[in-house]
Amino acid sequence: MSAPLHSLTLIEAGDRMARGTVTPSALVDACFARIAQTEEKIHACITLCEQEARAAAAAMAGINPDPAKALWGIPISVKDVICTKGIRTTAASRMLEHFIPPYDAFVVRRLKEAGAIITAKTNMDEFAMGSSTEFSAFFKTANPWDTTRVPGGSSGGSAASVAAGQCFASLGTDTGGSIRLPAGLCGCVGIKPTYGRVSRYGAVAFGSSLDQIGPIARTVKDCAQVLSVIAGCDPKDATCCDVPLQDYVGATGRTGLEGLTLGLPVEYWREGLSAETERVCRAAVDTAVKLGATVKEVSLSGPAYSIACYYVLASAEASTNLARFDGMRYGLRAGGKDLSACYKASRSAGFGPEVKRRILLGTYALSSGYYDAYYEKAAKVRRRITEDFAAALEHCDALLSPVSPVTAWELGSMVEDPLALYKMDILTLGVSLAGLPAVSLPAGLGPDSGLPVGLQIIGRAFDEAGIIGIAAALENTLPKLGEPKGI
Amino acid sequence: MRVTKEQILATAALCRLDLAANGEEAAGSLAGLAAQLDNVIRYMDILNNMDTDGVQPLYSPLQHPQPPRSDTAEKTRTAAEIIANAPEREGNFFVVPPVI
Repeated sequence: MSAPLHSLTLIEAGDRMARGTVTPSALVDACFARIAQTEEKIHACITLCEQEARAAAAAMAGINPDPAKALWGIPISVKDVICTKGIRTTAASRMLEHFIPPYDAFVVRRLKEAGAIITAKTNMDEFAMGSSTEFSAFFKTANPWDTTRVPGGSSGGSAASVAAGQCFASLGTDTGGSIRLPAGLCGCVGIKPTYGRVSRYGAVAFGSSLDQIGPIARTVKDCAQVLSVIAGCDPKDATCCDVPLQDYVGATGRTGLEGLTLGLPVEYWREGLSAETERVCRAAVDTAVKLGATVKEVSLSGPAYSIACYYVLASAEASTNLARFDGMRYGLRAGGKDLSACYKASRSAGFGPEVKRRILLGTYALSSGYYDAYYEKAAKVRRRITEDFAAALEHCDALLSPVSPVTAWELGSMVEDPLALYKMDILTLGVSLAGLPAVSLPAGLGPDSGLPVGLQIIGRAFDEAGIIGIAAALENTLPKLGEPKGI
Repeated sequence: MRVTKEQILATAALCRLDLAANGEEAAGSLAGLAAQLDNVIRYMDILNNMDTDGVQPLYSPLQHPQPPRSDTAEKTRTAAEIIANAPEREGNFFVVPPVI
C-alpha cells in the first residue's frame, strides 16, 4: 500500500504533481483531513486558511505544474509572527489578536510566487519569546510524539504541524534557537540561515540583531527547496546581504563526508546533557566518521556565557522593538483617560507574563546605571563568542553538537522558572549571537524516552550549502524516526 | 536581593507597564516577579568572569556590505488600508486620547 499523501515529503509531493498522479487540491484535502485528525491533540495552528488554500488549489486545477515554480501546489504553514496579507497575524499575543496585515512579508510573497499554498498560521510563544510554545496567549501546543510534552519553541506550532503531517513544510523564525529547538524536539529538520541571508521584512521584530526566518520540514532536501525560494537580497531589509546564493538543493546530493573536518566544541558536549541525548548524538558523530569525516575537538567560550549574553541583548532589543505597541495605530487599545494612561493600560492588558518579563529585563539592562554593566558588557562578550566560532571554523568545515541538552520535557514543568527554561537554549544561543547558519537534524530516538534527539550542524557564514550537504549525507545513514507516536 | 520590588516598579514605569493594576493580587505576583528577575540578573553576573578588556562591543553580526536601496518613491498601500487596523479612527486620521 502506498504511503498516505500527508506523509509524503515535499519533494515527493512535487514529483507526483509533475507526473500528474496527484493534484494540489488532493494535497490540500489531505492536509486539512490531517488537521481535522490531529489538531485537537496538538493545537499547532492559530488560524486555518482553509478557504484560501482550497481556492488557490482549485485555481491550479487542470494546469501543468510550472517547473520554474519550486513550490507549485505545495501546502505550507507559516509561523504567526510573519505577516500574511488579509490573514490575521497575531504573534500569539492579545496585543495583535485582531491585526490583519495589509501586506505580505517578503518570504510570504516569495512562497506565493513559487506556487506554494498557505494552509495555516502556526502557534508560537508570544512574540517568539520562549522555548516551549507554552507562552502563547491563546493555547499551548503539544508535541506529536507525546502530547503530554512540549514541542519546543518558539516555532513549536510550525514544527508540530510538520511532524503531524498537517503540511509539507513550515516557515519559522529563530532568534536564539526557535527553529532548531522545536525541529529537534519534534523530529523535523530545521535550518536557521545566516543572519542577513533571508529578508525579515514583514516579520514582527523581536531581537533585530538576531532574528532570522528559516524552513522546518521533514527532510533536508525539503528544507533546502524552501530555503532556495526564500533566500536572497531584499532592498526592504537593510540587514539582508547581497551575497551570492548557493545551490541548496544540489548540495543535498552529497553522500560521503570524505575530506571534511568536523569540530566538536568540547564545552557543548561536557555537562548537562541527558545520557540518551549524548548517546544518540555521539552515535551520529560516529556515523560522520564512518562516512569519511575527520572529527576533532575544538574549544569555544562556555555556553553559559551565551545564555547570559543572549538574554541581556535579546531582551534589550525586545524592549525597544516592542515599544511600538502602544495602542495608538494598531493592536489592542485598553482605554485610559489620557495618552500616558492609555499606553500603560494597553501594554499591560496586551502583553503576557513572559513578554513583560523580557521587556522589564531589557529596560533594566538599558537603564541609566546598568547600561555599562549589562548591555555593553554583553556586547563585548558577544564579540568574544563570535571570534571563538570564527577561529574554530577556520580549521573545521562545520561544528557538531546536540540541539538541546534533553528531549522534550513535560508541559508545565518549567513555566514558573524562567531561568531553567532559558537554559534549554544553551546549545543554540551562541550560533545566534555569532549570526551563523545551523541545521537541526534528527539523529535518532532517545533509548530512554523514545523521543527525537536533534543534532546541530553549525557552518560558516553564508555557507548554508556546506551544512545542508553534511546533513543530507548523515540523514541517509542515520536511523529513521518513523511516524510520531502521540497522535 | 539585587532586584527589589521598588526597582521593578520604577523599571515598569519606564516601559509603560502597570504591574500594580490589580491591587493585592498583583502585589503578591510582584514579589514573585522581583524574585524571578533577581534570579535571572544574578545569573547575568557570570558575564563578569570573562575578560573583555580592550574588546570592542559587537552589536550586529553582519560582516558583509549592506547595499543601500535607491531613494525612489513607490506606491505601496493606500491610507485606508493602513488605517484599517487602527483601534479608533476618523476618516484617515488616528484618534488618540488627550495628550495634554
